Amino acid sequence: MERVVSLVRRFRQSSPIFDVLVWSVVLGLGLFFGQYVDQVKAWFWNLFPITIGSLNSAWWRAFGFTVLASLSAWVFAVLIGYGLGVLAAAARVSGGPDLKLRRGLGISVDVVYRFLYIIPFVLTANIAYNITFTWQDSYDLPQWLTGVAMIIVAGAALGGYKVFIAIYSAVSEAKLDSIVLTRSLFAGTDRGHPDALSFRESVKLVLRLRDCEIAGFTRALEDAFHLSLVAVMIVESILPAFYENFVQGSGAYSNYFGGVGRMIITAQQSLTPRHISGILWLVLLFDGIVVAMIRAGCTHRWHKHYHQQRKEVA
Amino acid sequence: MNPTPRSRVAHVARSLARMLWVPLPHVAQPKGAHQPTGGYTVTLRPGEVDMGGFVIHYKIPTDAPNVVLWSPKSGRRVHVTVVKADSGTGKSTLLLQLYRSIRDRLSSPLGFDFDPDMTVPEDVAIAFLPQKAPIVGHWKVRDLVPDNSDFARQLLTEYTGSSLLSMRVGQLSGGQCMRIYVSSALERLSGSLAHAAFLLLDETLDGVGEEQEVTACVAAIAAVWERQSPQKPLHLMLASHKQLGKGGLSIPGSISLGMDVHSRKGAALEVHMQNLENW
Repeated sequence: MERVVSLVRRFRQSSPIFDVLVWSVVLGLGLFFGQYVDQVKAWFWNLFPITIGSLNSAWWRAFGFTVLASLSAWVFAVLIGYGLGVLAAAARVSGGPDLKLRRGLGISVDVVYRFLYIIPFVLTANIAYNITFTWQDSYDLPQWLTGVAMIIVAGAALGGYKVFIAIYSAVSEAKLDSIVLTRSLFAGTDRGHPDALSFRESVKLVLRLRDCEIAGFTRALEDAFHLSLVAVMIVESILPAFYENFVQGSGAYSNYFGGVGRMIITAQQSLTPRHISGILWLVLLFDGIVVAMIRAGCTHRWHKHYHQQRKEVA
Repeated sequence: MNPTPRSRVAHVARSLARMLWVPLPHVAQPKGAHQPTGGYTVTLRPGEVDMGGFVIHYKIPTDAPNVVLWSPKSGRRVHVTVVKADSGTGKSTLLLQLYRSIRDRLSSPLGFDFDPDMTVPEDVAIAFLPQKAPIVGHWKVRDLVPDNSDFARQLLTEYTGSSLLSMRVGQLSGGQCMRIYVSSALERLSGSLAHAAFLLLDETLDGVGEEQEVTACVAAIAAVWERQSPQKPLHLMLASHKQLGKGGLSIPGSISLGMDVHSRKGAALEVHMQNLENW
């Protein structure tokens, strides 16, 4: 096989016209057989980005709901992941035999959060909905609280863990040089109580160690948005008319109150691949724009201060 | 004697409070028997460091039982030791062992003895700038050194105070960045409540230049330290392999420690250490 490949490679190098001939044959065959496969061609057109144009107002309204929910979920993901990450990592940076309990606290938060992350999100969302709905029913709470709780769950369960682990691993898997440098410059030069850092000092140390792995933290913020969007669409698909928790409709049930996730399920049942393709392209576009904005913000805040040659990669 | 239920409860409460960073009333520790004001004489006995499959044997070829790391001289507050060795002779490992030994008071496979009571002293401050210290470009210089830092002013003479403070670390060259780190560590050591300070620099000043420039840099550090912290001795250790020329880095009044690889067998390295003549 290798001999054949090398023979073809040598032949292509010696006769560049060979490539032109091959592509001409492919094009010719395509044109010849194309006239017999119009239906297939038409179906493939359904997969192109131009299908965005086929989306009607219901799809755009659903998309609006999904946009707002996914952005809110990302904010919750960052807040919860960051807060828990700093807390767990601050507990983890404490050394010394008499602070084992505190280190244990940090490790436990990581274990529990990781457990939540690896459980299939459909299950997490279902359980969380059952609990919040029960509370809403029992204590006569407003309906929107259930909606907010589900958006918090969507953000914290997947995206939040990414942010959490970026901060926690910056401490738990920190390079020795980073640990020594940050301790020498920011905390614990005093021999008096090097292990029992105050809470403020511990947090400071965690943030400086995070600075040493800032590329990983930036990537976590981006991943958190991807996952928040996915989680919101999963919530929408398993909870019918999810956004009626926030906006009471006129009484008539409208599909778009289910968000993009629910609309896709419905469209699958009614076999409209054009709409599904269109909304997926739109979601991809939205995801790309938001991630580009997050990256631009991180570049403005952190990455622009690094020399170009230090950012070279293979 | 068995602890009473009350003392057990108190112990658990104290542990929980410590776990949750609740500040507890400070229990005054008895002061160490000896806190020499002039500085510590520190010696190193032979030993071996196992780094998980790779062992470095630190040996002393002469009849001396140990080598001297620091030996205070009267009238001085800054005591300098230069570790001269080629690459791959276990300099960084030695410095790391020393750092851990002082900072964490962990027993080290290398025997560090601190005169007068031969134990690692209490209440000393230590900072260590490793050879591969990360350059964190987005750190603000202002967060590393105070506004009126004499150390930064002396070590980075190419900038005026205000222009330097408004910069980020990423705007500095590699050598300048290391000097800012040194200034920052010195400011922390100088401002600490400890009665003595240790600063270990692993090839940190190699970017400063040749022997004369490094010597001038150390002299500037000493001058500022003695002005800023006249009561506190500073033990400074420089590891370097660049200034190995004829006579090496000869800082006046410093101690020189030479390290040579004697043999290299598989995953074992035998390093010979000795104090060089110029101290």
